[in-house]
Amino acid sequence: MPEYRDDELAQALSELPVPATSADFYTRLRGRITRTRVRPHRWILTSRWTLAAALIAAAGLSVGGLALADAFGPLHGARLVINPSTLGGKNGISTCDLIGKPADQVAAKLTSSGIGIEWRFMHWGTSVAPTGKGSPTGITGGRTDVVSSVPNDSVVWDVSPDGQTKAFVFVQAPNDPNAPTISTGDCTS
Amino acid sequence: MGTNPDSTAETVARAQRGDAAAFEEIVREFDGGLRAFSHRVLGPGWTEDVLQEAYLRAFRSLAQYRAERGAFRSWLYRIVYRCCLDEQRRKRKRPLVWASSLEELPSPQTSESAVAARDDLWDALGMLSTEERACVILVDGLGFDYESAGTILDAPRGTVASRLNHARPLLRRALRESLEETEGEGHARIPR
Repeated sequence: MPEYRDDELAQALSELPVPATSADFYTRLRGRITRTRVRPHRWILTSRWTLAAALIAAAGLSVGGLALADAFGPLHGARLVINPSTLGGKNGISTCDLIGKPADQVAAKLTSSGIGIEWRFMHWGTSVAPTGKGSPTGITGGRTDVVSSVPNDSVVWDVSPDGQTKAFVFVQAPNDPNAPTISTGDCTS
Repeated sequence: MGTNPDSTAETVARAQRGDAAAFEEIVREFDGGLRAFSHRVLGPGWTEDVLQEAYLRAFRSLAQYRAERGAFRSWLYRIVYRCCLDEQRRKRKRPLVWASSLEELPSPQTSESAVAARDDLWDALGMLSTEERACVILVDGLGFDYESAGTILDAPRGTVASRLNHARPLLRRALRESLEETEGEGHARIPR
C-alpha cells in the first residue's frame, strides 16, 4: 500500500496556531512529578518481610559496626528484578548472559558482536521510600554518572539496548554496600 | 523534527533512572509537536490539562519503555493521544466548543485570505471524527509514516490509510472553497 503525504494539507496544517505554554506549566509539572516520586528504571522490589529484615540488619549493623555489612548483604535488603531482553548485533546476545558479569567481559562480548557501549556508573542510594499507592518500595538517593570507561571489575547490573548497534551498560562498584540483590526475571539458568 | 536520536536516547535512559531534570528536557524537546497535536485533536481549552496529565503518566511509565519496541517519539504521542481520548470522554458531559477556537490564540502576521483559509480548515477539522482528525494531523501535519501513526492510534496501517482517504478530500475542499471565496472578494494576500 503506497504511502502518500498531502503537501498542501501539510502546509495548511502547519499554519494553524498552537496555544502558547502557560508561564507556570513547567513549575506545575515539576511539582506533580516530585510528589509522584521517582520510580527506578526497573522495579526494585522489597517485601514487607525483607524490609523488616533490613531494618533489623541495619540495627545490627549500628551495633556490630560496618564490618558486619557483608554478612547481612545490601543495606536495605532490596531486590532488583531485571527482565531479560535481546540486544542487536551479530549474535543477538541476551542480557541474561551479561547481567552480574564483570565489565571487561561484557565489553568484550558486546564489542565482538558489533555493539557500541555507553557506560553508566550507578552509585546506589542508601534509603528506601514508598513510590506510590500500590507500588513497591524503591531505593532512592542514588545517582548515575555518564562515564567514558569503567574499572574492569565493575559489575554489570543492567543492559539497555539502544537500537541495533548500541547499548547502555549500567555498572556498579563490586563492593557498593547499597547495591540491591540482582535477580534476572525470566532467565532460565 | 530536529532532534538528535542519540542524545534523545541518552536523555531517555537518564530519565528512566529517575532523573527528573532529564525528563523535563524530553518534555521540552517534544512539547511543541505534542501541544499542536492535542490542541488539534481535542479543540481549544484542554491542551494544558491534557499535557500535564500525559506527561505525568509518561513519567510514571518510563520504566516500561523499551527502545527496541519502537521510537520514543511514537510512545510519547501514544500516551498523549490516550489522554486526549480520556479527556474527550469526560468532555462529552459538557458542551462541545469546537467553533471560534482560533480567536483565542495569538494570531501571527498573516494575510486575510490565509486567516480565512486557516479558520475554514479548523472548522473542517472539527467535522471529522477524532480518529480521522488524529490520523491527518499525525501523517500530514506532523510527518509520521502510516505505521507509526497506527502505533500511536492503536490501529492497523490499512485503517490509517482509509481514515486519511476519508478526511483529506473534506479538508482539501474546505481549503479550496475558502481560497475561492477570498479571491472572489478581492482579499488575496493583503498583509495585516
